[in-house]
Amino acid sequence: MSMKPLSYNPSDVFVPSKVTGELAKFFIDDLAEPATREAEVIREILKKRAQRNEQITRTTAWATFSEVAASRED
Amino acid sequence: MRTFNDFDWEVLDRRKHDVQDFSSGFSVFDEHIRIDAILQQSNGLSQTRVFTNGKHILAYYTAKCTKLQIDDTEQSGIGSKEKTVPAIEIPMLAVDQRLHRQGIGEELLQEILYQSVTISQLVGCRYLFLRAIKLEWLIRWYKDFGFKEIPFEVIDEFTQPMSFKLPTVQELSEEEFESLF
Repeated sequence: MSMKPLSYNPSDVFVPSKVTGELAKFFIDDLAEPATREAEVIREILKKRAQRNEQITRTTAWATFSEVAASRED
Repeated sequence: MRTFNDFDWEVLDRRKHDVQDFSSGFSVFDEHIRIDAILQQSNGLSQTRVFTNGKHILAYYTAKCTKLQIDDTEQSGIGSKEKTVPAIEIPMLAVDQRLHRQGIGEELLQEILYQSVTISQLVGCRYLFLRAIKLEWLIRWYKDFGFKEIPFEVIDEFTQPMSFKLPTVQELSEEEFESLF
């Protein structure tokens, strides 16, 4: 598969070191608002992670149980 | 959607992880993990984490500290005597192209957000910045995760800077805060 070029330099700063004008207004307005939507996203991630960890714990517990059961049968 | 229970997030280690095998389909992302990510990490300038089973890399992201500095005349609007707002920058993130459409992108973004919000609860950090490739569906996908387009034209025509405002300690409950650690 051919490699697609992507012409940007990762070392370049992509938000200017000092923001002014319209960009400063964007951030000032944004900072004045509570991060309600962002907090919801984080809550959803925490919920998914907790569910996944529970699933992994259950799978591990079942594998351990199966191993112990098999060794007793031996 | 595949599950990746055998995979976990680790700090990039070139003795352990097969960086040569990683293929995003974009040379800039592949060269970054093979050369720049390792060099920057060894100098403490950025940190790269990989989603791996110990050898194969499914996805990676590079993170570093940055700051937003509001011009003196306009800084009164940020509600602080400080003129700067601390932030985390993700200069590079990529998924192996052989694993597209299998939920790895979501895993990657969730890990970035999870780690960023954890850091922000420890050291005070207000923003997460990254650059999305300028594709309508991709920008929409980031927005679904709470990102906003930064109205700033970068030096290239291929990427769109995006920002995610990290919730403050007041915006997450004590239980939610505890579950981060």
